[in-house]
Amino acid sequence: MHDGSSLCYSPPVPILNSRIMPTKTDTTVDHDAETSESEVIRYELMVIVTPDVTQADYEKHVEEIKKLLGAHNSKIGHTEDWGKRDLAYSIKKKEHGYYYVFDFEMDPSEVPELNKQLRITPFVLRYLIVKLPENYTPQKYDLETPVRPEYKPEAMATEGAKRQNYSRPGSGATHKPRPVAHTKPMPLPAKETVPKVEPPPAKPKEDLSKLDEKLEELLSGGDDLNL
Amino acid sequence: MCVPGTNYVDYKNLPLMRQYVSINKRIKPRYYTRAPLVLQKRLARAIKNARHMALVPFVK
Repeated sequence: MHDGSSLCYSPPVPILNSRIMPTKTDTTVDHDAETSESEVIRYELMVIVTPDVTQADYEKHVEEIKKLLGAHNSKIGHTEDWGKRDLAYSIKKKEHGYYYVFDFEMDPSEVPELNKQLRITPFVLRYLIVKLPENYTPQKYDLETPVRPEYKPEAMATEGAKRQNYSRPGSGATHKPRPVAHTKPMPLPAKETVPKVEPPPAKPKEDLSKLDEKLEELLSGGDDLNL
Repeated sequence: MCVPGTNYVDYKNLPLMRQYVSINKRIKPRYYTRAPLVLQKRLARAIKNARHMALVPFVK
């Protein structure tokens, strides 16, 4: 019964489809065919490899990833080894990771499969595949500054000062950024107060001795008064 | 802000990522950055990518 009814219902569906978008389906099919044959897109893959491995193992793992990319018919271009870096937050209870960047050209239809395989790979902590623009040239950036500067109070203070002085050239008279309390550098006043406190270390001792004398006097005097 | 010759904001540009993140590590809103909407959107995407790769923290 059920099968029969479904059979009854099935005819209208293809008819509807063909009515609504007969040309569209045709064009999409053509487009897919074109992309699968000719079009290749530039991608970039960044991988974080677990920090537990030795240097030799790490190089092996990198080779494995290159093989994986090769298995998906991709041309590897520029590669970059960032080495061992601190992570901004712990991943799988690990604080460090080996970063490696691959630029490659690949057929877009292969990407889901590559994604799948990278997700299963045991030594990959995390990865990211990004499309690159066609005229992108690999850049060199300052990667040396620590990822977590907030661990050092001094760096924090300077950063805060920088932030306060920071202003974009476009921000002229018309709009000024809203003043916010947290943009003020908090640790700076503490720094200033510290040297001020230091100079009088000798005085309190004298004061104490004087105080003791005074106390004794008072006590003795008090006793007299009470008696 | 973009990579020269393109209209792509690179998530690997860590100084830039830090510049557009507040002290609390939140993405600075447009009334701070004064960036055009298109750039702000690309910038936000880039910061989110950098966060995913543990280059920039999610929270302080």
